Amino acid sequence: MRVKVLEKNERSIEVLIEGISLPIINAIRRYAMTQVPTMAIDEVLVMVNTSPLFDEILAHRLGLIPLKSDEALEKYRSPEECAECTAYARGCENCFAYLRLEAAAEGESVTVYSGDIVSDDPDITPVYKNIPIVTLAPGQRLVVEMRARLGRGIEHIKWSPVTVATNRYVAKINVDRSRCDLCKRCIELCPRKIFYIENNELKVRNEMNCILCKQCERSCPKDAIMLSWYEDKYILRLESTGVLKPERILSESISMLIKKLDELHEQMNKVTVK
Amino acid sequence: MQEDSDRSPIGDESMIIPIRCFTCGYPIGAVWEEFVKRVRAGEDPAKVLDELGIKRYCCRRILISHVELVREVMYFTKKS
Ligand code: SF4
Ligand code: SF4
Ligand SMILES: [Zn+2]
Repeated sequence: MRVKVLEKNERSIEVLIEGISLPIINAIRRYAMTQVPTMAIDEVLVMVNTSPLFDEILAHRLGLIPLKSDEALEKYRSPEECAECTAYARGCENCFAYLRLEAAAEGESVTVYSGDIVSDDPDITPVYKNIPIVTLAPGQRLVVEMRARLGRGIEHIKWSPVTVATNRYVAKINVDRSRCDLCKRCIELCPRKIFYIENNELKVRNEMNCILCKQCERSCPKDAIMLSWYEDKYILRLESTGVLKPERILSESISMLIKKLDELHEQMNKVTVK
Repeated sequence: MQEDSDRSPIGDESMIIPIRCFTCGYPIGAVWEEFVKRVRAGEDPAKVLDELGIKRYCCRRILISHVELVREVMYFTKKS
């Protein structure tokens, strides 16, 4: 097995994985989207809202604001534990982070930003401070209290730590040079600029960038291009919403998958040993 | 069938810039103000979007086509 990081920055990670079958990589991808927990505002108590947005729309917008979750995974209980907890209704601080938002427009209209949200827990704050939540006309007021908790993307997408999670094939591009007459059609058509001509020969570069759209294969007048893909090489790409570092999402997703499989393994042994 | 032509094509959800992209979930709300400011100052929207790191057309279409209606309707709320 071989893993190579193709791209890594604050927001996204792209890795080339060799020697694992697609279903497993896909499971990792789906776990990243639906199972890795993050913090998000889940309950909103509206005390005053004379803004132009209905309470429900306001609450929905607040829920979608990404909250920093790096520390939350250790600090707060898992959503399953919290759901079973009898103190849930009262709200214990092992499950919830408390946040407040207060704004009023006096003489001029005021835009309320995510940065105006005050959190009791300094680790749980909005990732971006400049998301407009609502605009208040003069005389309007907004007072809300919020509870954020850990949740998973499978329950609501606001808890998903990723925006885009994809895996793709790695292309194998074969050019039959005896047929190619250098008409340059493929060069013009390829959206990824894979082909170029050097020394009177059609060359291929950065195969990894090919999206297998097959434009080249379909439009080559000489039928000189043959596309296929590697059976054991895949590219996994995760883009974070900002709540967790992309590499953290990847490792959490893998460890959660392993945990699930361990559980299954244990259960299976119990059932079959009987 | 009822005539729909009088209705505004823009629903409530477009009144104020969405927090996330409807399609991919990217937090586009965070770049809205800079986007508007720079485009109003005369910059090319495509270039601004590129520089803000908005790559996908799902996010780009929301930012490009958004009309900030909230600034007009905000005066017509019930008094309390
Ligand atoms: S389209 Fe076909 S014939 Fe033309 S340059 Fe490309 S490979 Fe060669
Ligand atoms: S399949 Fe598409 S991206 Fe890949 S080389 Fe052909 S035209 Fe380019
Ligand atoms: Zn998008």
